[in-house]
Order: sequence, then C-alpha cells, then structure tokens
Amino acid sequence: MKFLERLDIFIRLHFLQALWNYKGMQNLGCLFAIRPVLKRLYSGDKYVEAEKRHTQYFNTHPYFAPICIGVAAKYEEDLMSGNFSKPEMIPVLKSRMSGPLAAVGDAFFWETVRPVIGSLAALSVYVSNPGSSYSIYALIFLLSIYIIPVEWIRWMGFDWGYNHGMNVVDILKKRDFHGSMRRIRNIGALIIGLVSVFYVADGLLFSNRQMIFIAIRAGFLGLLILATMRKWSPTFLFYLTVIGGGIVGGSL
Amino acid sequence: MTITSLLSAAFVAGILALDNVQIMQWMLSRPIVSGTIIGAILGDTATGMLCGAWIELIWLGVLPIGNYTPPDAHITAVCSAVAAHAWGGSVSAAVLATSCCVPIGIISRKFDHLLRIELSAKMEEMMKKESPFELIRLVAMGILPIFLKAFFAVLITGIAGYILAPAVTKIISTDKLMKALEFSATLIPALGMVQLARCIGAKSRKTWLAAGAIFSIACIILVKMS
Repeated sequence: MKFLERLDIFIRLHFLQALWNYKGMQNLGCLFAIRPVLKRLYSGDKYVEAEKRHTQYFNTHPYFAPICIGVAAKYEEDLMSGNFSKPEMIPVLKSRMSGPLAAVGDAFFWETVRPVIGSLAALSVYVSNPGSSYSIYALIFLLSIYIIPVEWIRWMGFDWGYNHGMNVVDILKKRDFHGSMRRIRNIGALIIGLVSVFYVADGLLFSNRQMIFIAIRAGFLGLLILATMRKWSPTFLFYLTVIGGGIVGGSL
Repeated sequence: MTITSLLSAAFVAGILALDNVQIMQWMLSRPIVSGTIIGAILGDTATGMLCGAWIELIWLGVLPIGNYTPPDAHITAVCSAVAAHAWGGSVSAAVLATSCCVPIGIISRKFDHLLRIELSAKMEEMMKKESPFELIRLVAMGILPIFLKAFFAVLITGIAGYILAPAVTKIISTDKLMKALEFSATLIPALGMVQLARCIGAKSRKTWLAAGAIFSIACIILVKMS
C-alpha cells in the first residue's frame, strides 16, 4: 500500500464516528475510511458491490477500529488477487473482531485512562490555583500523554490488522493492554488515597483547617461513598451537594 | 464580555464540540479542557477552568459505552464558563452557573439522540439508492448540527447571562448566599474522588488506596513537625 493512500485512510479514520447512527452505528464511517482501498481495487458493479459490503452493521471502540479496517482492507486485496474467495465473509470477520476490541478499548480508554487523566487534570486545578501557569502546563502535559498514544494506536492499528489479518489478536496480547490497565488503575487508587487525605485535612484550593470543616468534609466523603455504592446518579449527587452544602455553609 | 469575544467563544465551542464523538476524540471536548479554552477566550481562564474541573469531576464516571449517549459535558462546561464570566467570575458565580447549565447538557443529549435517529433514516434512504454513496454530504450532515448546537447554546447562554447579570450579581453578593455557594464549592472535589474510585474499581485496590493515604498522612505530620 502506498504511503499517500495509507495517510488518506489515517485521516479518514478520524471521521469514523461522524456518521454514527443507531441502525448501523459506525458502518458509514468505516466505509468512509476504507473507500480509498475500494476505489483502487474495483470499478463499476464490483465497486458498488464492495461498498454495499461495508455498509453492514459495525461498531467497536473508535481507537481500535483501524485494526478491523486494516484486516478488511487486506481481505479486499486478497479477494482481488484471488487468495480469498468469500466476499460475504469480510463484514462477518470484521464484525467478529469488533466485539472483543470494543471490550478492550472501552475498559482501557473509557473506563481507565480517560477518568484517571480527567481527574488528574481537574484535581491539578485544586492543588495549584485555577488559571495559574502550573495548572495550564499540567493540562497540556496530561492532554499530550493522552493524544500521542491514541494517535499511535490509530496509525499502528491499521498496520497490525493489514499485516497480521485475524492473527492480530496475538499482537494485542503482546501489547498487554490488560496489564497496563491494571497498573493505571492502581495509580488511580494511589491518587485517590493521596488526595482524599489532603482534601479532608486541608480542603485543597479552599484551604480551611478548622476542626468543624475537617469533620464535615470527612463525613460528606463517607456519605458520598455510600450513595455511590447505592448507584445514585452523579447529576443528582451534584445538586444534593450544592443544595446540602449551601444549607450547611449558610448556617455556619 | 464583548460581542466579539462571545462570538469567538461560540465558534470555538462549536469546533470543540465535534471532538466529543464526530471527529478525532482527542479529549479537547472534555469539560476541563474546553472550559479552560473558552475561559481564556473570554479573558477569564480561572473561572472557565474551575467550571470545567467541576463538570469533569461530576460526570467522570458517565461513559459513552455501546449506544448509550451520556449528558453533554462539553456544552455544560462551555455554557457554565460563559455564564459564570457574565456574572462576575467569582467562585459563587461559578457554582451557580454550573448548577444552571447542567440541564443544558441533558437537553443536548436529547438533541444528539434525535440527530442519530435522523441519520439512521437518511442511511436507510441512501441504502435504497445505488452506490457510490454521497458520503461527504452525509459527513457534513453529521457534523454541522453538532457545531451549530454548541455555537447557539453558547451564544444564547452568553446573551441570557448578560441580561440576567445585574440581578444575579446582586443576589449572589449577599453575604449568606455567597458563603453558602462557596461552601458547596469546597465539597465538589469529593464527588470527583468517589466517581474515580467507582470507575477504577477502588474496592479491589485497597492496598494502593491505603498506600496513598499513609503517604499523605506522613507528609502532613512531617510538615507539622518541621
């Protein structure tokens, strides 16, 4: 595959969810991304047929979708060269991979990396002062340690899928996403332990070391843990915090 | 807040909104980032950052998994930043603005839901026709409404904030209410810590939690002793 075509697909992969819909989910985004390959390989009726193949249901984690699209591109080329003879299997194979990849991507990026980086960025505002140069640098640093690996996976993911086909699972095992996830979650737990003590003892940005405020913050943290264990909605808890905190704060 | 800065903020908020789902997903639409950027455009980075940090902490554990559409944290953060700035940029103004703008994020989710239904209908219509499909036109159809949604949400919030500013600033400058709102602000970080603990499964990571807590206690004792 030529570099410019590869680059074209990479840019198009950033629009994967522009056409996200309930019916086919990422199907049109996937077609949009793989189109340069289809245009190179087919023309006329065969092109129309190939496009239809890629409009079937498809949904996975957006950062891991390039892997599935790389596999599909390889099968399309094999189909054209005669090394593969079942065109109807391409969407099936793509979809078969999408489930496990979505599970890994959701757990790794959505449930681990994003909340940890988001909370670190938000808490850095409390540790320093909002708008201070330290808090801005911290934000830029945390954003870059998120964006660089994401773009690396987007670029390399297509290559992994294209070069290894369905054996791409072995590559992912070598990358040890589960191990990394466990380590990042441990760091997250360490941060919670660190910040919660400072928060209760000091109040962070709104520093207040009077005994009554320390007791209120400790009690409130305990109540929130109980409420979250009972799966109360975060929006409801926010309003409860503002109203309850307001009543307590106004009467002190 | 000038009309030029409000229009610039609305335009940038519209562009950043696309990062949420449609394009890139670089976390630029996360409230802590977009709130800070909009605050900087309005000349009040601190308030924008504070509003963004609160929204980030509140909805930290609400995740876009499967076909679930979470509340629009980006719109809530940028609208909060604009309203808080219009109301004087104090901590109490930021708490009030955030409380008022949380429903905007929930309404925005409904809008996204309707847009996705519309896109599904368009897709069905397209599938009946012969390919090659007009994907570029459809991509524009998926992107433009999201841009316009954020653009007008910020613009309307800015104008409403500006109109309500004299009344709101008068109310929140009363001693009791200011104290109450400022006290509420001190409790919001706890909400974020609990949300993060739920996300990462802190229950099964007690050793790490304890290690962090012990380290903090040791630091506090050392500081006190010195």
